[in-house]
Amino acid sequence: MAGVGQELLAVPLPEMVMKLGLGVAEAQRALDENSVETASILAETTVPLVLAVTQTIAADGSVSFVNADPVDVSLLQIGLMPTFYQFSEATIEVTMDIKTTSSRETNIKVSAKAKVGFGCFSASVSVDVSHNRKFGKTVHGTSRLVTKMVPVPPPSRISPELTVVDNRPSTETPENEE
Amino acid sequence: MNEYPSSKKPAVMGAKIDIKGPPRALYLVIGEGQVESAIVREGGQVQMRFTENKLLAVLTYDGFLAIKEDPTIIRVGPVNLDMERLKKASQILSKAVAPNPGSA
Repeated sequence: MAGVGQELLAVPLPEMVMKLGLGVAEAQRALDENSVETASILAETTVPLVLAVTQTIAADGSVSFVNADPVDVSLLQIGLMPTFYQFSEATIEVTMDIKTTSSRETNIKVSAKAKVGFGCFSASVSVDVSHNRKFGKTVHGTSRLVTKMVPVPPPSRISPELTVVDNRPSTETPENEE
Repeated sequence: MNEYPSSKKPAVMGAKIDIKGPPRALYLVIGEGQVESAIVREGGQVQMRFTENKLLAVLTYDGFLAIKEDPTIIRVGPVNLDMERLKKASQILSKAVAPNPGSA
């Protein structure tokens, strides 16, 4: 009969660790793919933004506002980023409750016979002994897999840097302009 | 804490899967048609509507899981607003589109 130690050795811990690792890797890939697809949608979705409003105060004191032409910018450009997650922790807990019982049962059956007749006597005694040994084993096992994911910053090169080259002829800058 | 709703495999194996997510977060939601009703039904709030079937919404994690299973929803993914990038983009683009000083 296998002992408790043998039962514990039979726990497929290396296999569990391997499967957990593969599961985490697969889940990480799925998460990354999902985030990349979201990033792609965010890059394709544009919104018109009015980024400048010119306030003009006329000589008579009337004020008017002129909006600059709206510029179509992608959601990614204006800072809407997909949330990237990363597995930060994975734990395997295996709990086993092993109960072994052993019992021995001995049955002794004794029978005696005696016969007395004319000038003769006979007697017999029979003993029947039986031994039964019973083994019982109860194993309860539970395993618990815990993974923890944390949001991480998106890759730094997920969107190109926007650089503006302004070739307009320079004009005088008012003193109060920043 | 939410019981994972979609897979039948854990139930067959007698396993229980619990997922604990963020309380509320911003999601990009894309549906086949009008998606606002599904978001409202799950207690979410529409923050920005790009098209009829594409919008940004704030959802609870329960709501996110429910909407993810909705057959009319094509995609729902968590997003966040990078304030630094928004600020930088605004500054650069403002300079690019601003009229020449004094020309207005």
